[in-house]
Amino acid sequence: MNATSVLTRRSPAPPVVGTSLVEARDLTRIWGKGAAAQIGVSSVDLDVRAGEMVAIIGPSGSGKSTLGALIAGIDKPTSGSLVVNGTRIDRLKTDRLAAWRGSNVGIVFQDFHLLPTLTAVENVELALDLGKGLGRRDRRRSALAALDQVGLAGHAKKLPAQMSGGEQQRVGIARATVTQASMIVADEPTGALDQANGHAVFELLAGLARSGTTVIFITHDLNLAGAADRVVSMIDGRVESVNDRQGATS
Amino acid sequence: MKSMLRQFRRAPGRIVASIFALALAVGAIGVLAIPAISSGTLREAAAGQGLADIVVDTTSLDGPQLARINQIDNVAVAEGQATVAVELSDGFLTQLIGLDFGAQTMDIVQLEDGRLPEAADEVVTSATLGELGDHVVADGTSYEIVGHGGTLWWSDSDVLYADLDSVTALTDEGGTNRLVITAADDSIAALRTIAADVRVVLQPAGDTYTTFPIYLPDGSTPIDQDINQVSTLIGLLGIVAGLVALVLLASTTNTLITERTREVAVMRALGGRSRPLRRRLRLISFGITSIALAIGLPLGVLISNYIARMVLEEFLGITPAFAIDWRVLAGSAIGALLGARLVAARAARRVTKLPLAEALRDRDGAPFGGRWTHRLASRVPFGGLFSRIAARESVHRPARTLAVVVQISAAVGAAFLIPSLANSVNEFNAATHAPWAWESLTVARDAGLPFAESVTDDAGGAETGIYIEGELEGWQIDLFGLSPDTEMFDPMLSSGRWITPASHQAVVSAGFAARNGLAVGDQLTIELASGEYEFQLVGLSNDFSRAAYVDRGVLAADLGSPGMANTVMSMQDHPDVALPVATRTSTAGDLAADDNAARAAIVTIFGAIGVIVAGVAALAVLSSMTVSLFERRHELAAMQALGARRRRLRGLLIRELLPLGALGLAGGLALGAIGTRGIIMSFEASNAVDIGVVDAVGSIPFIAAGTLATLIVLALVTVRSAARRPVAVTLRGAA
Repeated sequence: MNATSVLTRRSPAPPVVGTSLVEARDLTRIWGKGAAAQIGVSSVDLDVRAGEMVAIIGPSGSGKSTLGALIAGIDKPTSGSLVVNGTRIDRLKTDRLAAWRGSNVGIVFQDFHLLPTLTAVENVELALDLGKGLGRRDRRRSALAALDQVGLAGHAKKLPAQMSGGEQQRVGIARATVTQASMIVADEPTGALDQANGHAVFELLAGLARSGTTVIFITHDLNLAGAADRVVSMIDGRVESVNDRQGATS
Repeated sequence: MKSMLRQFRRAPGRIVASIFALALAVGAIGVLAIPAISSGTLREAAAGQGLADIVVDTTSLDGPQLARINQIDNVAVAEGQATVAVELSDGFLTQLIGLDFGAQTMDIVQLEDGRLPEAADEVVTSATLGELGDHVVADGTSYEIVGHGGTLWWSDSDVLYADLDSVTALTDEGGTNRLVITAADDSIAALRTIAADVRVVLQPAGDTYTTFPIYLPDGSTPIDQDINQVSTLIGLLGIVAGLVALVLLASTTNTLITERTREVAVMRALGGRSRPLRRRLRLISFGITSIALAIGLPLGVLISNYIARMVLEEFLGITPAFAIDWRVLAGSAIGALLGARLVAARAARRVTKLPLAEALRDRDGAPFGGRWTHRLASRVPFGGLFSRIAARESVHRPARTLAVVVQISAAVGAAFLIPSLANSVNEFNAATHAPWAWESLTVARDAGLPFAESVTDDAGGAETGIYIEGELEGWQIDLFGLSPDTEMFDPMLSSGRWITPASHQAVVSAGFAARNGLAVGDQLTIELASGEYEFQLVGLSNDFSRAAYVDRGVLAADLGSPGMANTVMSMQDHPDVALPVATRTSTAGDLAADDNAARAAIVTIFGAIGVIVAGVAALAVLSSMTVSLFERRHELAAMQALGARRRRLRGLLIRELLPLGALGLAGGLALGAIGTRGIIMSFEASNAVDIGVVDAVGSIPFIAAGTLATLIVLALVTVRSAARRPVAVTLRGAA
């Protein structure tokens, strides 16, 4: 399977239920002060509807990863407002924000960020432990099921160091999906993988979107971006354009 | 310098902590200079004042006898002095010392102000007894203070110095009663030969020594040994602090170097050779150590001079000149620099040997799962996920795990050693008093046996006895002459029997006997002030002392004063006995208070060093945890991204630390127990007495609670610091 086949098989997004899942208004993230200030994103307005698959693209330093981090709640804006799934997350304190992340968002990292001392199944269990607080048996059952869905049922007891990059990223996706969060944010999920593994991983994300999960992914790959319902193009920290699959631009 | 400043900006807290800890440790090691500083001052004072090589009290001697003593082979100068115990009008007990100010070569009074006495009613004394022109009344006689000053020999007490003739007039037979001698050859063997020859010279006139001779061979001074012993022990603890500080330096250096993994990798990728890169990385550690030395060495000089000054002023009343022991300075500087080089070399080698591809991605090149221990740990399904992470992390980095355990052990060891030492000294003090039944002990303040043993015959609950010093098996011992049917002393015999009347029999301290290979039935040669005498060892006493107990009448006869005694033991606080001489009465409570004061001094010194060791160890643990968190920052950030609150991260860290804390606690208690035994054994060996160790078991819960609380606080502090950065920023650093 290649990226094109994934894209062509992409089904339309589920019906929009009315309110946006993500509402960003005048979102700005600046590091440092004065002359040393670095602008991550500046005055970004963005809405993402529930069930949408949105790609954020742009050159290096355009602010796409920063925007993804803000939406995922792993960074906080300097100004502006950000409502995700009905919660004003820019106002949440550190620990409340962590708790919110645990139950509302699944994050897939370019570098996987699996815990090196935990096995594959334990890494997936960790998300359930932190996000859902499930009991040990339920946790294990759900984690094994999630690994099964990404085709790694036979690798459950392997440590990250004993798996390939593609396998690690699939564990990362299982970890992001096991909590059944309403939104997945994936930052360059295929960036560290070869083409075959990259396509397999993208196929998994696309499958999630087809099943109704909101997927926001950051990518350099225009082919992958073309499979999204909407493509947000960024440059110099600002949203340059937003294109939907029908080619409409806003 | 620029490079150092850049490093400082990267991690100011860690660098300052390392500098501070290392400087403190170097400062603590500086106490090894105390003997040299003290010795210089003491020897200077001894040379300036003419400290004698032999000091001994005698029966009354006249001029011709002194002239004959001066003729003895190897005697450079022999002089007579006079001492009389007096009581001042305010009840203060002191000595009136008669010196021949015009001709003396020994114990020359050093005047601070005023002049030397020129008349019989003039004295020189310390400023604490009065101003110049004031009068002091001693045993009813008024003396005018004409000068302030003193000598090294009597510098620990406020005595009155008067003209020799006026004091000899107060002695029993009008002669000198104290003999001081300097020798051409001042080796201990030569001094003993002189002392024996003097005895022979005194014998024809029926004169003798009334105290055991004090020898100061090879230019030594009376407190040399005490200063050496205390300084060595403090210095050893300082070295422990130094080792702990080096561990801290290792942790800090390791972090600072590890933080530059990617930077170094880029340099290597651009063609940089490993050796020059390693050299540059080692400069970080060199810089920290240099600054620590710049602070620590002067600190050590100040500490050593301060302690030397405190000790010499307290015990001898002399203020030492400021001095520096260059050997200690050079030794601690070289040790610290070498140690720093060693600890930095390991981290630098690791960073420059990482596979380039790994290093460029800022990974540490040691993934979990590469060793059988990792795989084994990953298959042990105990506890929850956080417990597993904690346990496996300890297996992942065994060197750091061991370092933290050692650091906690050092702190716990120091914390356990101090109360154990205090307990042991307490118990020892109690054990030395246990055999004695008296409530008060009255001792004649002048040498010799000045009153009849029968003075207490009509007094109920009181006994006379003899307390003098003697020598046995090369050791100075306490020699007690007691009535064989005494009710004041329970020998607490461990073997043998108690002495029988009118026989040359002795009971000896069991510990002392064991250390010198003495057994019941042995024939002992005890050297008394009057000469050598043979005694049969008939019993061993569990008295925790270095003493021998003999028949009072036999001892008095051997000392040349049959039927006489010098102590009264009483069941009352103040014996109801009229004694014809100056005495000093001490109650059991007084002696216990003295013991407590001595114990407090020891515990204070060791406690101060213990606090340094514990503090440095805590800093080292903090640093190790910071290093650990730094290396795992991406992992922890990923956990936060998954929803882990700070409390969970704290929980993780506490889970990691608790087993290490438990191991450190166990190791530290063992270390403390061993350390206490080492110190006590060194005291036992140097004093040939049983002291015994009583571990401060009662302190263990407090130490455990303190360790737990410290680890929790450290976990709170480090997690708070680690979680301050936005998760996205930390994770981006990994990409």
